[in-house]
Amino acid sequence: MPRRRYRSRLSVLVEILRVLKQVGPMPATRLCEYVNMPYDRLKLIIVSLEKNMIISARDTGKSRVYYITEKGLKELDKLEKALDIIVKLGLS
Amino acid sequence: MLQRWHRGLHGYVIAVSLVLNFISIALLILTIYRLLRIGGYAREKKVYILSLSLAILSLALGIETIVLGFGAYGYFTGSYHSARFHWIISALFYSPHIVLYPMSYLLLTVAYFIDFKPENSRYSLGSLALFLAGKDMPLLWTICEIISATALALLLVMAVKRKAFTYIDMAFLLLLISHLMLVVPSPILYIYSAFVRSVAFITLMCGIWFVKAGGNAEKEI
Repeated sequence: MPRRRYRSRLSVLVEILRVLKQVGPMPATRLCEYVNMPYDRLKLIIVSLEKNMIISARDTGKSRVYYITEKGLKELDKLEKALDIIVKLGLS
Repeated sequence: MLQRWHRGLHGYVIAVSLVLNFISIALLILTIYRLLRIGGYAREKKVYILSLSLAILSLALGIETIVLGFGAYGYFTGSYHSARFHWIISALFYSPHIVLYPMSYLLLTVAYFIDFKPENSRYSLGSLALFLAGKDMPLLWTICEIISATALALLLVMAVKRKAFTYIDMAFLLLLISHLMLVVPSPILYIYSAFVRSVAFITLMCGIWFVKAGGNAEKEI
């Protein structure tokens, strides 16, 4: 059985930001399904991204939805370019 | 006639190497910039090690370009450098191969796992023919080249195993060949090895900059 390859933090970040950019604002529980990650682990990343103003949250009454900020869009571009180099070198 | 053709060829090889080295250094610096500009929240050890390895590689390439520049000057003018500056030229000549190349290849591998006898001939690097002149060659040089070659062989295996781009595999193969050429060095082999290395670095940079990741990068995520 081949050994399972874990995703790097960088690729998880890119995936979260891509989902928020392409699908739009969504609550953390839905984001978990999109990025295939348990809530407790995703929450830690979300807190760090929110602190750096890459994503932001707003309350819609029923739930708290997260969306990508202007800064987040710029950071996503930088992250994608860095990840591109790592993937091409076979280091991902 | 053969002699003249030979002479011309060496000159072209040095000139082409110099141009390729300048392009590679510029692209290497841009690559490091791309890797380091991502915010602190996204940085990983791997990114730091890769950046450090590429920085050392560009420093090595830069120094080798200066050495080749001196060589080209000596080659075309037939002049030798002043004895007063011999230690500087000597340090420039040896430092990439003794320290910088092995160190950068080893760091890159870690990222995957987490004489002085003047020749009368002008068929070499002019005054730089003083180095690698045969029997006075230091053993340290060979050891360092073997370390570089071993690290590169490992890198090649890892790159193929991890499905890196074909350009990257080719670049590691060419780098391996260039360092194997210097295990038993000579001034002429040095010129051709520097040329193969320039082509290798350009291939590496083409792989990183000019080949579209396409579905491959998406799949990795």
